[in-house]
Amino acid sequence: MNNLTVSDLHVRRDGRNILDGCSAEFPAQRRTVLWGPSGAGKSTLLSAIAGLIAPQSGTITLGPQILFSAADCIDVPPHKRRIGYVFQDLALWPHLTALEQVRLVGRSAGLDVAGAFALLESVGLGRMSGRRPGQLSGGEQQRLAIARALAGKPMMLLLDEPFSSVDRDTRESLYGLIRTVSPQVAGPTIYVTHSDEDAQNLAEHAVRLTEGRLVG
Amino acid sequence: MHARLEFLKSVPLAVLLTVAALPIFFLAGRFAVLSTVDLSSLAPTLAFAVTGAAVSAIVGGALGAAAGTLEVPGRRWAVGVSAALIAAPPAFWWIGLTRLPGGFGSLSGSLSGSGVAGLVLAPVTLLLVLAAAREIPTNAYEAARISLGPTRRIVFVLFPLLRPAVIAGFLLTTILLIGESEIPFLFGFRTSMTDAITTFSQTFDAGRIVPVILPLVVTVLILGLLMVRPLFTVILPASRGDRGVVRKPAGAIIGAGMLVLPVLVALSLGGFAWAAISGAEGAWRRLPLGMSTVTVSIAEPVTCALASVGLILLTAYPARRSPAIQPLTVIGLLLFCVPAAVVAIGWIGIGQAFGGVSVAPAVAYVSRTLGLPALGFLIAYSRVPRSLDDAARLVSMSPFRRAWSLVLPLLAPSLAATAALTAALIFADRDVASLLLAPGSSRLMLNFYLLSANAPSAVVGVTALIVFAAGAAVIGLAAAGPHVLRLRRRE
Amino acid sequence: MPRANLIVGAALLVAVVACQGKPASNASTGGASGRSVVVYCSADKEFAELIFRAYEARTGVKVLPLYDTEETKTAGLTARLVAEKARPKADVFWSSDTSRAVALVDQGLAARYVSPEAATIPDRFKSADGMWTGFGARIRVMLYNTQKVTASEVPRSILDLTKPRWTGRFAIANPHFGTMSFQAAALFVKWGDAKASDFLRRLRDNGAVIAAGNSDVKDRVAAGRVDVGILDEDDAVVAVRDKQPVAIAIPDQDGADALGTPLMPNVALLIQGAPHVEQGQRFIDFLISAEAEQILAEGDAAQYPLHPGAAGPKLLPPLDRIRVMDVDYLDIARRLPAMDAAVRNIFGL
Repeated sequence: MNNLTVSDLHVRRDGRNILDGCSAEFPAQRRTVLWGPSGAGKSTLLSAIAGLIAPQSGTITLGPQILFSAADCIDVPPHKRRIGYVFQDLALWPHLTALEQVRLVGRSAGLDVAGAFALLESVGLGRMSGRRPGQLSGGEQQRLAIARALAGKPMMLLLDEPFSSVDRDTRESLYGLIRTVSPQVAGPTIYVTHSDEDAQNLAEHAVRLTEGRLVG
Repeated sequence: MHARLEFLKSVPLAVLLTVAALPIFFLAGRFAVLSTVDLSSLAPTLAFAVTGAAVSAIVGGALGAAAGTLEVPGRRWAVGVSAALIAAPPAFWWIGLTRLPGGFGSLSGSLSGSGVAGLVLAPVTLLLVLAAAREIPTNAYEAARISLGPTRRIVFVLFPLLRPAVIAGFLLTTILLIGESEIPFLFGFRTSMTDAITTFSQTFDAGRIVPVILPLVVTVLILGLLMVRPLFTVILPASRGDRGVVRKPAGAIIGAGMLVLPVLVALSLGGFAWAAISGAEGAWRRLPLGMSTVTVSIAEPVTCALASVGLILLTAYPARRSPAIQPLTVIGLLLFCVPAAVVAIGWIGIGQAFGGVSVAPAVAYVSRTLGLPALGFLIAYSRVPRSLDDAARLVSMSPFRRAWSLVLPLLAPSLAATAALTAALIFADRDVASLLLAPGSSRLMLNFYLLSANAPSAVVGVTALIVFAAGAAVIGLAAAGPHVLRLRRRE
Repeated sequence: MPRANLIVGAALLVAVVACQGKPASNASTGGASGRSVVVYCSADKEFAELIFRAYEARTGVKVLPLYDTEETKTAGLTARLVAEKARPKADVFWSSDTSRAVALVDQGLAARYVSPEAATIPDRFKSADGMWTGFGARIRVMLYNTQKVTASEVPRSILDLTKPRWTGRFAIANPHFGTMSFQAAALFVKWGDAKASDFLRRLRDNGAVIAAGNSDVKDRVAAGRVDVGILDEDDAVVAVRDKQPVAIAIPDQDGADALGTPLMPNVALLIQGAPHVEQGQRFIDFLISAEAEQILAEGDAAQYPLHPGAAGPKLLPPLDRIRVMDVDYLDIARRLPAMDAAVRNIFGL
């Protein structure tokens, strides 16, 4: 099973313990909502799982594979962890069209043009493949960010409060999209939020981060 | 471990800047042997530079504030034409003015020279103030508009917000004027720079000018350090949310004020055109300019500017997240503050120490201007949301491809502006060319100065117009270079 | 094709063309293949180019010139030649300043070469041992602003510039450089150190305006910033041809004991250890020939040929009707240091 296990993770920044002995298991092919107050370290935990920051100590494993181990000096680079990540500000590359964003990420997973089109179709962006992010609405940008995250056939899907700035109707449709795509991911889907509504609509499993530690 | 790795990634940039600083080390080494300084011309140098910088700060600051906060018809054109002044040195514009009938040529002395030079360099402060105005939080200024009258709003809200830009413009202009040698020659007064160039030209001994140069170099380095903080406050983004002032219509007086610098450009170019048309008949047909001179004069600054940008990208990009990137950028900026003639003399000294090896002007150009692309890269990268770079790191591709396809295209506009500015400064150079050019080589700007001394006015006029056109070509080509980062492959 | 591609392509094309446009020179020697000659030249670029292009057209040999700057003139090039003594880059030195060029002979920088073209040049304008040869001479003149000074009011002698009526109304170029230094050193030879120093002191006390160079003197007179200036005839001729409100007068011509005005030949030197000796010799042959002198006499160069019988510049009297200062050029060269020290002392320059 491709469960994600985080053990005794410590991240320290600017003299402050952001993650203070964080441990939890995120089950494969299930949606886990990670929630907690602002400043609890949720985004930091996601960044550590993605390999974007290096913890001071602890381990991160995905099934049998060790992604990070401070004791054993193992730190798999981000692009080799096969992660789909939807950032809080979406992080869409402004100079690339929707199709190009998806194809670029999907190249390593063997995604060809037809596959990229199909993926965009599946998120409702089939007719907008030639548009750049600046030419898409807020909801369309969200869908593109999700499509891009899925393009590389990731082993896990990480979403960092991606729907915080969209209206209710759009959010409802995006909930449905997440519920549809998350079973396609071999590992866990981790959704960071501080919204009860998000948690109610998406959670199959929940953990709470408080003062750098996970509970639940 | 990661912190150490990030630090190590900055080593290539550090090595590059160390090599670029070799001329300074060489001159400092000669000072260690001689241990004497000559401060006799430092005071008049500072008087000239500070006065000119004050003119630049007042004129440029006022125009920048107006352009940044008020709606003036033709504002963009006025700013664009004003910025053209930076494309050529102060002496170029002054010589144009003196070709007009009616008395500009009667000005002389340090005060007049400061005024002319300060006015020509006013766009430096103007552009910095404009950039600062764009960073003003919109709501903050709107709140000031609601609660304060115009005068109080300017004094207590606008000026404090623009003060770092004015200070940075003042200090940068002072640094540029300390290195200015042609205006003092034309206006008939001494500065450290004129003494240094004259002494070196008389002796061709780098060591002999160290007593004059060293106080000058120390001064510009101190001013450069003082400039870092206000400059970085202006150019590095601080606030999130909406920025830039909502413009209100300006009055006629302010609209007319925006035309001061464009009129200066027009008058100077008009002076050259007047000379070209009204000079000795047929003289303009005797232009001693070849196509190869024009071509090399355009190609060299473009190539050197793009080489500077390329070297910085190669060394600074891997170190973009290193804590050392900002200090190294500061060092690059300080290197840029050292006058070009001093850098050239340092390289000549190094060449002499190795048995008379000739150093190409391109070496001096690139070594001196590396600081500009370093600063441009820092500005550009700091404005890219970190998440975009993070998202790129998650994509499975080679680091080179990742940089080329995903991150560098985001930096292209800033790098294009940097390349254009670097190329313009190299094109406008006279000192490096006169000191380092091999026999048989010539450059447009150097030829212009040589001709302006003795050739008929018509020849000078036509040459100047060719110089101006070539300068525009240099800026356009240099700016186009980084746009290759945005070249796209069809899917 | 995207516009950016076109622009970048144009840039690359320019760069390629530029590389081909560069002279095929060896950077370490400053010279080139056998079909080129390196000339360090303190003559005005506009005039020198006429000679270079004529030589290239005739022989197919490329001339690679290095010019001075207006501020330092010949002094800059001579300093460079001295600095390069161990590894000369120049083949020929064409100097517009007789004295500083001749001074290089004492420093061992000149190589002996007696050109066949020098045979008809009078002996006083060349060295007997072939170390230097003079050609295409200029005289020192006064240029006056016709809107401020009439022909009858113009100073008759440089000594008149020490009189109160000319206080602050005249300009001279910096006496450390160029032909002004030549004239000043000539006075040191003619009058002796004491009298010459006293003259310079009285010029200073009478408000002499020190200009950056001869062209600056010309510009100041033409603009009316000063009424009178001392400069070379070619700079004066440029102002006249530019239709400025100026006229030319030749000083120190009156009376049997008149001082006379300095006559300053250009000087051609073959550099000791030149990279291309033969090319240098061939170029000197052309440079000092009657043909080259004729080129320099015509147009704005306005220089007097030294070959007998050749026509002089049109705007000036013929040389045989001008009283020139009777001084030895080698003596002038040897008085330069004393003159330099006095100028530094008196003018603080």
